[in-house]
Amino acid sequence: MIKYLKASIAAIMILFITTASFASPVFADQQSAQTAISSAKNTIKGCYDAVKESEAAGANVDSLMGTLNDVAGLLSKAELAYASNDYDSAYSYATQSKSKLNGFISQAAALKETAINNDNQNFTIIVLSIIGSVAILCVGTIAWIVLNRKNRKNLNGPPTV
Amino acid sequence: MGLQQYKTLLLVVTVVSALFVATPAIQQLVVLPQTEYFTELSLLGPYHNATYPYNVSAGDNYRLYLDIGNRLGSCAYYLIQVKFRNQTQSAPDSFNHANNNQPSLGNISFFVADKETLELPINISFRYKVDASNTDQLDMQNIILNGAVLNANTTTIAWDTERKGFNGNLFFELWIFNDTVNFFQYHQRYVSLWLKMNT
Repeated sequence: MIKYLKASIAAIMILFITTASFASPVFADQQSAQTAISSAKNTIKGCYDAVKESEAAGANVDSLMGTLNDVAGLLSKAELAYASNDYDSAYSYATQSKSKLNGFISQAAALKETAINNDNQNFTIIVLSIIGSVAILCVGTIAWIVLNRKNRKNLNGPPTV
Repeated sequence: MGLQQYKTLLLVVTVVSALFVATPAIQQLVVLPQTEYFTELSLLGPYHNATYPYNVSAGDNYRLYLDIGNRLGSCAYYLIQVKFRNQTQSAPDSFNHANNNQPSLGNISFFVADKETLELPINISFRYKVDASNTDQLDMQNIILNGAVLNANTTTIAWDTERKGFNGNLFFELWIFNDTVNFFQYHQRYVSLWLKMNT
């Protein structure tokens, strides 16, 4: 009987320790919540700068904006939780928002690079189209002149002997 | 076909071909530059129109929608500051483009891409009670915004004899992140809603 009791207590303790280590609730104080929020804000600002740079280079930043808005939503929840003195939730939301931005800046840089390449390609196409257009106009003008000369010769008639 | 007709055909073919080939370059010139840069801010009621709640009861939930349209020529990082005031406290100044000095009860941050509009759903409810020692005064306790309980107990509302009620003003100020100075600045726009707090 005692053996069973000991085994049960041991099993419950193991279960408790395992649960506690895998699903430990967040216990955050005001200071750590505030630090987490300001850290998340700084990360978001850095990512926003990266998005603006990509956009200025002509990149389509829709996907990046979607991620940023998800993160901003989490930051808002963190700030509202902080304002309502729920520091655990504030800390949790702030850390979630920050972790969602892992690899974001490199993604923005890749989009910027692609946009720059596309821009260079577009510039080449524009230059080639201008050259092509000018070439067509030149050929047309030359053909016009040739036809005009031919026309004049025909008007003057065959040379008399 | 006479030579004169050939000449006309040649002229037409040359001009059309030149224009066709130059299309990518012409496209760059035809795009009109954006001349006005602004942000739209509007507040809608629970039915996505201008039917707003007016008579409110303590504890009841009210849904509002904030629509923000970005026409600034680039993506923007915005912040909404949620504030609440009574009749005697000052409102944001539209003429001097100044914000209200009261501290924000809660902030909502978001991004809007250029030429896009974002809609923010707002769920709001109010907790308040008539002052036990002075029945002409209503003491605000909390404003529950999207589930977060925000402390509003510094605001008291006096009985309005003209409009016969306790009237509070909920307003949303729009702020924009200025990346040159690295902080949010008041974007000179706000929307507000007068509410009659029924007891």
